[in-house]
Amino acid sequence: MGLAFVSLVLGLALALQFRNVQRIGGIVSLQRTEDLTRRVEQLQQENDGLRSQIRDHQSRISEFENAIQDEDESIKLIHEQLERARIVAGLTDVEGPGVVVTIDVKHALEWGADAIVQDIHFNDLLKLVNELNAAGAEAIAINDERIIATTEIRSAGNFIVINTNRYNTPFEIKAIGNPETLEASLKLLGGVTDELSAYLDIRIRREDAIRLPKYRGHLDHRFAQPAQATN
Amino acid sequence: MYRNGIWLVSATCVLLGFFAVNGFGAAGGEIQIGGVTSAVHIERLLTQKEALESQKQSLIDSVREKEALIKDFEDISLGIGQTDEEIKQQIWDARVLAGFTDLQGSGIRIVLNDRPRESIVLGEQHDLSSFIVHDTDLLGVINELRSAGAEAIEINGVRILANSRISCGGPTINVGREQRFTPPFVINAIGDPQALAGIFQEPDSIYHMLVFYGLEFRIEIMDNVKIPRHYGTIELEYAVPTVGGG
Repeated sequence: MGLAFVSLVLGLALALQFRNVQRIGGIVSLQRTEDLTRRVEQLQQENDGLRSQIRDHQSRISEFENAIQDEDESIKLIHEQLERARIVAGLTDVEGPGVVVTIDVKHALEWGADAIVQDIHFNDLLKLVNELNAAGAEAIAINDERIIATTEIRSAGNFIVINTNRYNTPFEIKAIGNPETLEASLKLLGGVTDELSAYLDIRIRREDAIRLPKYRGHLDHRFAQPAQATN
Repeated sequence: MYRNGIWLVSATCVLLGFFAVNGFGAAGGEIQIGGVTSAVHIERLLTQKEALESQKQSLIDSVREKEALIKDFEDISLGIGQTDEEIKQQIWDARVLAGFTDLQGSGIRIVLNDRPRESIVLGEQHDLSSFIVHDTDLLGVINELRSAGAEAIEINGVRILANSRISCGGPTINVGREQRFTPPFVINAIGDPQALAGIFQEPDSIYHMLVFYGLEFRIEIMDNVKIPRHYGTIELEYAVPTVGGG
């Protein structure tokens, strides 16, 4: 009888084990479904973006076709093309609503008259810029140094180098975009401002009209070539 | 005879126990049913994904075709000219920065991956989170590449531009506007290969910290690396060119 009981328990255990394995399988495929769903949605968005790009290009081509006999008109179109690329590249002054973030050192008077908690580190600025980008910033400048695709923010001794120029405390980041979204994303509970405010003095204010200068550095693409269309 | 009887009873009981549990299981068997439906669901999603991917490819082809046409019109309009080399150069420079063109050139390839699972000793005095690639690590690597004069950068096929964000989305890392990735991260950069590779040897480079924690950080010098354009339109809703500026 004892043996029968033990066997029964064994059988129960075996069956439970079996079910556990199945359950894990279920969770894995659930995660896989989520991944796939996300990927499908992403592809749909990407394809929509491509379609609107094709429409843009098509209307450009039509304009060129109509203008092909007219030299002045053609040149005008070329300049328009250039202008569009420049705006996106950060090679024009732009203006619009957004936020202004000032970053200064925090004084610690209890440690002495000139004592500060900590210097501003390049990573602090990098984090703020990345957060503003995540919140949909369309154009950003730090101390009037426009952030473009090749902009570095690095330490060099007591300075922070931006677009190869040196800057020192205090810093002012201006970002154009939806002011509410930009501000909310910076002020997210436990977000970047909370983190940096522990050792820096951060102030954020919304503005209706911010003006950002164009990138003033030298452009020299010595290594990048147009890619041959292989596919 | 008697011994055989015991074995028979035992075997029967094991079977009985097994079926008893499975019987109960069937009553509350949503999980198993869920498993079956998601298999069908996954298959459907896979088909959909495949279709969308092939659509994407043909859309990209179409974008490239139209761009080549626009380029031809530009050349004709500028009179295949020596006179307008200047403006051609300006258009090219602006387009590279704006991410409007596919590029190729010398540079480096970096593969960044989490620390291999088998190399982690349990009970080691570090948080597991030190062993995985974080959004801030990618941001640091990109920043150093820019500092070394990178002319164009991509992560896993996504061109990195002025307003690309790199942020943490739980187990995935978001790059650019929509794309989410899990490791490994393949970063391609066009520029002077020696300068690009050299920046990671500097004492303050993030390289040393990541390698210290056992993450995979491979750097390969490339004679020719291809970097895709940014796909999709960039709509500027808030920023407008300053009149009289520019």
